[in-house]
Amino acid sequence: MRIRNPTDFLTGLLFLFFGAAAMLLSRGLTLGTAAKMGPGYFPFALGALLCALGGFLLARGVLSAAAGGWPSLQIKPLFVILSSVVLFSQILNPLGLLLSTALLVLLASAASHEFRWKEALINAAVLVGIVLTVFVYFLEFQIPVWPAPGGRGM
Amino acid sequence: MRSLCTWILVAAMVGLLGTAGPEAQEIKGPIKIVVPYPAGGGSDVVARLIADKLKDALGQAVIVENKPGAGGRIGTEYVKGQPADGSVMLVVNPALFVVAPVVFSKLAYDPETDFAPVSVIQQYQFCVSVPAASTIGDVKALIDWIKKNPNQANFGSPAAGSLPHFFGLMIAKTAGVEMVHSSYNGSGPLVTALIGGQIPIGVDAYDAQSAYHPDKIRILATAGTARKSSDIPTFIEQGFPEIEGVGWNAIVVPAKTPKPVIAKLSAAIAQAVRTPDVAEKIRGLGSDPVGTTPEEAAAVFKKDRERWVPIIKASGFKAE
Amino acid sequence: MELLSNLALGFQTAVSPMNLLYCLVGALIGTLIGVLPGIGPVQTIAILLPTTFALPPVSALIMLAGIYYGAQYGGSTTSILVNVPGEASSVVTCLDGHQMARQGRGGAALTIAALGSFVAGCFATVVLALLAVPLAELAFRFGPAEYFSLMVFGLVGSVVLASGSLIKAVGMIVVGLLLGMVGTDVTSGAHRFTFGIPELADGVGFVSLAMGLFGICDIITSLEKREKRDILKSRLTGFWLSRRELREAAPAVVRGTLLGSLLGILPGGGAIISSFTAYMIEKKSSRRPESFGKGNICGVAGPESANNAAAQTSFVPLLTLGIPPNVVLAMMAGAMMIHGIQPGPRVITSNPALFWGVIVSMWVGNLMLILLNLPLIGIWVRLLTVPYRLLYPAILVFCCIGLYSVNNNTFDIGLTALCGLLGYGLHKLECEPAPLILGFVLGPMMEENLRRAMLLARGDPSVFFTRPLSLAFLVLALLLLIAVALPGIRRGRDKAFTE
Repeated sequence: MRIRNPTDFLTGLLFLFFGAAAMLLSRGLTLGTAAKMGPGYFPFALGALLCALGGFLLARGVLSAAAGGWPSLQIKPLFVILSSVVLFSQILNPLGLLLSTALLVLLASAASHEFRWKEALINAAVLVGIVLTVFVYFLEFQIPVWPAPGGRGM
Repeated sequence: MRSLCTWILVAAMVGLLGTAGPEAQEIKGPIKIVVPYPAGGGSDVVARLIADKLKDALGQAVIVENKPGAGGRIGTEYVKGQPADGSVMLVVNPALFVVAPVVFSKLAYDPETDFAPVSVIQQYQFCVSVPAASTIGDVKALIDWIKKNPNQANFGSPAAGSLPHFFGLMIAKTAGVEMVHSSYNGSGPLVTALIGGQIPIGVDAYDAQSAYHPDKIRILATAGTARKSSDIPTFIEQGFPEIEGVGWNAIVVPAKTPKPVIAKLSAAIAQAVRTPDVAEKIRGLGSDPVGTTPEEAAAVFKKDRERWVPIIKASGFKAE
Repeated sequence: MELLSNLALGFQTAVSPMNLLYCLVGALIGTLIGVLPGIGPVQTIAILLPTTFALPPVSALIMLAGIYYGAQYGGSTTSILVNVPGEASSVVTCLDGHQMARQGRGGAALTIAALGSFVAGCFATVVLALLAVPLAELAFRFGPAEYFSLMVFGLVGSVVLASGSLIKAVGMIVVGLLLGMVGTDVTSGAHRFTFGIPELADGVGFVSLAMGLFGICDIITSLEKREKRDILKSRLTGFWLSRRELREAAPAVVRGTLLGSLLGILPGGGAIISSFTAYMIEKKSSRRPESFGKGNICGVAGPESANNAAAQTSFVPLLTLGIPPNVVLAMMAGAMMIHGIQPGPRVITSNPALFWGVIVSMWVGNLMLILLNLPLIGIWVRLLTVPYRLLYPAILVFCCIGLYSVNNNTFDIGLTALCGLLGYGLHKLECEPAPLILGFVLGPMMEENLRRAMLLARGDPSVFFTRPLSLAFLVLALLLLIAVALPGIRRGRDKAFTE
């Protein structure tokens, strides 16, 4: 078997995965009847529909006349950007807005192939300034600014 | 003139002594009132009204912080872990303190052991209503109609698992009839459906419906012991003494907060709630200003648990 | 003549120096905050609501209304320039608006968005003044069956948003519907797909999903390309419309305005349905449908006019009935309550100065916004000359802080990273995110109304066909389905022949 259209094939797999997950998870919910649908009825039906669509795309990926290439991935930007966002979410409460913003900018900047330390540091300083002025001073956001004493907070 | 000066002096002395005395408690500011719902909602409005007055009474900055999410449970859980020194208060209601412990098998807080009541700030009544075009005029007629039209006997509530939902079940159970429940996504959609005649019966808080009575919908009965409006009789007057129920908003603090601090907060809140302009605004919202002591608040919580828990359990309603 | 005296009363209220000032302040704050990526009108109003409590009620409402439509203007700016939609109704603006920006026509896109919004805002204000009460009645005609059928029509239509594979677009709608199911089920109160996480009990936040699928995904894929994305240096000067663009866009503005004015009244999905229905109409009626999604100006003009008109007429249910049709207006209802005004049908009679003052101020505010925004366009466009390596960390910072401010919670930020991952995968698989977003927004309403309709009808599905409005939407949906599927089928056959 040769996969002629990988994007169709992979999309099919993704849809099958989501569809099957929805159907499986819906089994823990009440299905009900058409007259009195339970919380599981609609998601179960949608899951089945998505599986059907996924199956179709899977088949088309294998049999399709229109051949295509495998999608190309680059791990660095994906990984660096996502982890900088996750990092921010984890450190905002213990470390406060000031430090978190600086770290977010520095780490995220490293994702670019044009990354330069000095420039990133200046950018971080400028953005921290803007953020403090706009959100803390001007809008009075309810957001921790400084590191929480004893690392507490939610 | 001199007497006035003396008075001021005495007052100042008393004030000084008062704050320096052993039983007086200084609360470290700024004081936060956490509202576990988004800004602009009913409990947010009330919290802001009293925060404004508490500022003067407690001599501290009092800020309202919104921690919305999961029907208020996220904010409630958050306050559970906050310092128990009176600097963080929480606005709660029966959904969080009476219903949630029954319908959630894994609730991250226990209303009885994690929190100490401070004061019930306002109460609101439930009511049952029909579209203005409906021929049903009172509760007896409503029950007859339900018996004759089992296929149309639907009632709407503002949310599944809300007190109005269970209040509707209470009506059905007391009258010995069956009604199909349909929940709406809040009071607005429910009243729209009622006005448009999309649903024949609505059960909600009185203040969510009073503005539409009697032109757009007809409120058949309110659920308190006294009338809310002179033209709307209570369930009791109509011969249904068992149908009674009120909702409330109350202030609580983390359980370990010292008694004197709670007493001080409670007195300040009660005073704030009774300030004429605040009381007037709360009445303007269709609910009643209360302002109880911590003991009275505890009694309200207890009574409501006894009232609602059996009905909730009997309904088989589970959130998970 | 009663109308004239009412409007006179409104003018008296709205153009008092103080109220003019608050209108300006609101419009200004709204624009500025709307422009920050990741921060839409919902957060803006939630944050600024408390500060308005000290004002007199009319001024507070005028200012909040100003923030609301100011944020709409500002929000389209971010959609066009950096591909980050601040709210559901500007998702559609991203499709062609951002493409125009990439081609150096960002200025033109911003100009038509502002002009379209102005025309729409003015027209919708007149509609509001003339027809508020009769229009309010329209909402009552919508029972569960009608809503369900409208949602079906909407979802079928959302296929048009995608320019690639039909099957994938349908699949994306279904994925969106499923994502919309996460959280507490309105009908039963049961938790679905929450994995025991309390933050998920309210479902996946719209802002998280939109930021992830559009903003974050766009940053990652741009970095991959290693292109110097100083996109707009080339034709910075041309931010006025060419005559041809103006000729093309003008009818789109008119169509969008009419559509938005009408659909804005419907609670819930009014603004979003109107914006993409406008897109659908433009694409289907265009002589060059293939140019949509690649920077067609009508794809900006129609939806932008529609969503602004809808934003304006969505005040109808609030002002006439006291029923807020969306989150932003629910907060405004809260603002009325704190001032001791019970929102409801009595506001018109008991507070005529407030009712008409707010309506007239909307017109005044729109005028201020266009005067404010046209000169700003030059500045916004210049903003894009900031090297991309400095710009994207700024976008991330504003997105993250905006996400935190939705619920004062860091959970939404992490969730956005996850949505970004999903968005990246979908991008690689050539699946377009816009239909997913629509499925996500409309899905819960569709399910809720389907279940309610069936429950109230005791399981008899004929309700959908016996109620005329419902039937009409279903027939329209069917016709649309045929119209959407036909070219695809034909194309498929062509392909088969060329094989």
